[in-house]
Amino acid sequence: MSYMDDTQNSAPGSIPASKATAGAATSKRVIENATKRLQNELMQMMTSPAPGISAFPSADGNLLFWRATIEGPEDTPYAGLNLKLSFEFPANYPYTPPTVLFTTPIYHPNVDFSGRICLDILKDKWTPAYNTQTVLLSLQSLLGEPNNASPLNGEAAELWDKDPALFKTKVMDRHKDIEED
Amino acid sequence: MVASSPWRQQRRRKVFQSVFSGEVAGSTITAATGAQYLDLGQGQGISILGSGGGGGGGGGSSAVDRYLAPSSSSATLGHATPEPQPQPQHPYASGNEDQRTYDQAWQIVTSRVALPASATGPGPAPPAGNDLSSGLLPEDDGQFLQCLSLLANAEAMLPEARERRDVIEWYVSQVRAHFATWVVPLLAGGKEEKGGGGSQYDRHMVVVMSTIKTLEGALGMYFQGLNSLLEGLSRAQHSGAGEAQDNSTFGRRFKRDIHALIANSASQGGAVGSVKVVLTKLAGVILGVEGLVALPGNEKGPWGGPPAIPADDDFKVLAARRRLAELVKQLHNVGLTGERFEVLFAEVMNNMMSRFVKGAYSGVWGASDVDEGNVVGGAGTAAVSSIFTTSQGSGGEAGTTVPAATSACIRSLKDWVENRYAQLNVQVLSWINATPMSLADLKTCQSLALGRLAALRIQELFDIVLAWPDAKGALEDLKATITTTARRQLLTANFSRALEQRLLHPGSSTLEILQTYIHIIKTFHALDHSKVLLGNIEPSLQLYLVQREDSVRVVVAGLLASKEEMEAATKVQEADEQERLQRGATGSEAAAAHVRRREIKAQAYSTPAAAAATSSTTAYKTPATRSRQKRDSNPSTPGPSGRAWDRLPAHRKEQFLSRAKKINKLVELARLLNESASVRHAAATAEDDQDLDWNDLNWVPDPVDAGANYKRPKSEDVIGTLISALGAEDVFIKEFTAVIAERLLGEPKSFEQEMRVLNLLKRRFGEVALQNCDVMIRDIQESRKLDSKIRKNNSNAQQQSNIPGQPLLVTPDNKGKAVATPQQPSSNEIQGKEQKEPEYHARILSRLYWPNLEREHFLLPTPIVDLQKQYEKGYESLKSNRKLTWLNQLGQTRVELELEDRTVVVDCDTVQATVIYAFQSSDSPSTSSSPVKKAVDDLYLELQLDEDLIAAACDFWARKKVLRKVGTADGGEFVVLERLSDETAGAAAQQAQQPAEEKDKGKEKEEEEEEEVAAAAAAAPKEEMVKRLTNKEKERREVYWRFIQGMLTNASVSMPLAQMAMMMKLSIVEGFPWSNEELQEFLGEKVEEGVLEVVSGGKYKLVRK
Repeated sequence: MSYMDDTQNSAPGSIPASKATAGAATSKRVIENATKRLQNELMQMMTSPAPGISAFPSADGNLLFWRATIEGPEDTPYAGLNLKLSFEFPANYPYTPPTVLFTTPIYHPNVDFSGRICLDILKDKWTPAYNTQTVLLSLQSLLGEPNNASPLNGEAAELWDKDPALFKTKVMDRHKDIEED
Repeated sequence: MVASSPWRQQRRRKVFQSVFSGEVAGSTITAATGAQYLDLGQGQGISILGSGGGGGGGGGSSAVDRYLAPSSSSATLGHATPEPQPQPQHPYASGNEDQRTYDQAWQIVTSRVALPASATGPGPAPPAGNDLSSGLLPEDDGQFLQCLSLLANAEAMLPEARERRDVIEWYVSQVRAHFATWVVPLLAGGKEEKGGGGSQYDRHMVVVMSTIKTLEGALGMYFQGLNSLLEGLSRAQHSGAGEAQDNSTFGRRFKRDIHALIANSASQGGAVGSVKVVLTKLAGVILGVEGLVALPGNEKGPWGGPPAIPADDDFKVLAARRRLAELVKQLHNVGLTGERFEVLFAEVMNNMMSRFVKGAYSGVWGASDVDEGNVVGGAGTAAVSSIFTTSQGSGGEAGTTVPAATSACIRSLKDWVENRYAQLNVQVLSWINATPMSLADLKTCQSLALGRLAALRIQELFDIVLAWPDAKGALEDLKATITTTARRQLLTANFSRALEQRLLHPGSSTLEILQTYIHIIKTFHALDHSKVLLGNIEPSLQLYLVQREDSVRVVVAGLLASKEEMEAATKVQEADEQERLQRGATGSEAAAAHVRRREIKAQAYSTPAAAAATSSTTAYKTPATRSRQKRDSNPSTPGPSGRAWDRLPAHRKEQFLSRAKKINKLVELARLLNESASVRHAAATAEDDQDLDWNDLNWVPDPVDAGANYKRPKSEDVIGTLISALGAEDVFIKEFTAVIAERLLGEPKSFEQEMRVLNLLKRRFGEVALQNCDVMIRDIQESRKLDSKIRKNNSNAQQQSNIPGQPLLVTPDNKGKAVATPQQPSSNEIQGKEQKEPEYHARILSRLYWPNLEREHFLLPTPIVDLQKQYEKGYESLKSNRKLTWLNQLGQTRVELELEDRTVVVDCDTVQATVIYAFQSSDSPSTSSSPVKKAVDDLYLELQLDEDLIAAACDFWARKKVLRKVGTADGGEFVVLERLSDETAGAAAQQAQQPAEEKDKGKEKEEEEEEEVAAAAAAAPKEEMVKRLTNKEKERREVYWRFIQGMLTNASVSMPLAQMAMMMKLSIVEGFPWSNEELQEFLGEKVEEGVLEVVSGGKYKLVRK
């Protein structure tokens, strides 16, 4: 059990030792599988899009690296904001979760100042049944319902309950639209 | 004969000198020396030339003078050789008596043997070399001999004559000069004589003969002179016996020199060309090539098999052989058979081989059981032929007759080389005393010939493929001959080119391409079990096929072809076969006659050796070969040469294509699938570990051109190859699923064929891959049961109420969502008096497992909606927690229309039924005095159905003559055609828009014109297809737009076109079929819509809202 947890907690992209020993052909096939899966996910997202979220592989054509956008949900402090994220998929995706970061500076109890996110499904609760779209939807709902029990940003967690107005100000202060090009 | 002017002679001489400068220059100088003496003699009043031995006729001496004078000066001028120059001066300076005597003797001797000033000697020249013993003219004898002995013994008899010369040497140089002056121009001049009558061959023959004659004459002359000299000399000093031997040695050397001279000079004249033509002609006749070329195609007739080569003892052949022997011997005598001749002859023979192979075997692809009659005659062949005859005659002893595994063509070619080609070679070489051919040379010749055959077959390969399986013989040729990597490469390169030129162009339909592909797979598999060759030519074909959008569909349709379709196709093929047989009948008779002749001949030749050969041949026959033979032979073609039909390639192709047209499906696939089902079964167990088949005695290593990681494919797997050629398996399965879905939703019937194909495919792809199809079929079967149950329940529950049948299918998936497609005969009646109760059936589909079933929204007629509701209730009572979703547009309806003068019953789809129903419901039956008229727009509002579909449905009914279009307005208005007679009236007064008023009670049924129906039927599916495609296309563009939005939102805010295209290609699993231009057009539309903008650098950017 603990072994399992270790595997899932290890940084995405690092291949478990047992797999690393496998031949180059195997790892190539693994990558192919990951790529195929991601293509399918993309197609699924395009054919049945969910409102407020979108994602696409990065412009350099690397299918293992995506960028995503979440529109801040109405009636949250993030309403009207466009929040950018980056997804980095490990070669053995979907067996290990992607690394997800907010690239837009965001003030949120579960996100630290470098954009790292504390979300269980991106860590030990990950299963291959999740996909990019479900992750984005979870993050979208996380914006409205932070998990204040395990904050990365203690101040934000505190303010969320105590002073929503100040929280909102902090959000707006911190927010900065990034134009990448 | 030589009409050349002195100027021309001079010129030729110069040419000659420029080529042979050293040698001839030497001879010219010595000749000049002699000439000075002649001049001298004249000066002294002694007319040597006039009285000289024989003379050259009237003009001869002056000609000599004319020529010799300038030549001497030019010689002295041109050559600074010091030695000869002083010679002439000396004698007169001395005035020595001995010297004078010597000079006189010299003059007498030289004039006696001086050469005439023409190419041919005086009178008929005796054959060169034969006159050693011939006597000299008596009267001159004494003086001549005396002088000669004086010269020979000058040292002793005329000690004072310091200036002595060697008379033999002088003579040799004389001869050279003469040859250069007189004979060479003749040899060169041969070519100029054009315009004579007769064939080219005759003309050249004349040239050759005259050349020979010239040379013979000249040689005779030369040798005569030489012999007189030699004889005189030998008599003069006949003391020593050793001298005589010297003389004969000298004679031989002289002969050799002169032959070398001739051979060298002949090479530049036209005579050699003529010799080549003549040789070609004669060799052609002897080798049987001539006939082939003269009668292209005819000789071979429609029956394949190697062509009949004129027998060895044929009159013409014998004559030609004799003629050739004569000619070669003559040439040999005059010294024209040097190295150059050998080269020439080799060239000729080389051409012969090419021509023979091409002429005899092109288009002859007969299978190997066609042949015997054509084996070339000759001593060696007799043995072979007698094998056939013996075994044929006695039937039993040797079993079947085909020896070993070589094809007829190869055998006959080898025989030809051995018995005709090599034989001729040997003969000719022996005539000219050259090194004879060894056995190794023979083998080389044979392998050369096989190489030619390989090249020929490679050229023909595309046609051979088209002719599959009729050209097995040709394949065997190829198989046996493509033994080198170079040839294999040539083959693939050539075939790929042919493929591109002849098949992979827009003019050929996908069906044709696929059919050819199947043939290619089979042919190449027969050719090369390792499939390396196939692998090399396939890529371009596959690439092309992938571009054809309908290729998957064609393949799937082919797989699903019904038994009837297969039978029909077989019939067509049989018809072809018969036609072919009839066509070939004459040919076969001829062939048979030939066989008989050969039998007789062969028997005459048969020897004990032949008997031995018979048994050894049998020994080679392994069971494997026999069984292969058996499999190869097509039972439907009786007769030995049944399959070897020969037509011109173009004709074949036409045939092939027309056949393809008659069979509009790839029924081959269905047949293969069925065959492979049984074969596979048996093979499955045996081939499990076929990599380790230790008992495979036919195993051969992989060919050298196989790649390093090359894995030997299992078997000739046409279907597998085709499917893999069309891209990924899942693409194929997806298409297959779509086709199956379409069929399942079609006419209700049993789906045996589909089931069978499905099961076969399962074996190939595995259960999981085709699970959807399984579910789909089960859905249909289940819904039948369910349907009857529901209807029973319903009718029990509400016996009184009308239960109309109308369609739909529905299915719930597990989560309670259901999809339904309608399906039922219902009857609507327009202005009907009695309302029948429509029947209503539904098929219930499991939503998740069916491909793209979209809902088309429209309002069904109320009675039908009621039925649906009832049905739904019935269903939900059976399966709680499930809901039906109706897919109204997928149903089928039987509509009965009662019009004033007729009743029309039509099977149509639900959309069409709904539309026509609308024409009924608009008015109550009571106001039926005037026909119902509706515009498309009205219908749109009424039915909430897509306008295009309404228009299509109205057109459908118009074609059925139920509706009639009135008005030219855009949407158009349609009116019910109550009586057929209205149509004509209506057509006449179309603008009036006022058709019939009153309706007659008389009901007359008029038959609809069949043509119209047919046309309508053809048109309808097409329209639907267009419709469906555009829907699909619309959807696709929608998805692409979302991709672009996602891309420009996330990947990069603005992107250039090329990068966008790249990203699309990268990220869309099924591929992105648009070209950059298409994408650009699409983006342009979006820019016009205002959702996209072009920013600096031609980059696209989403418009921020």
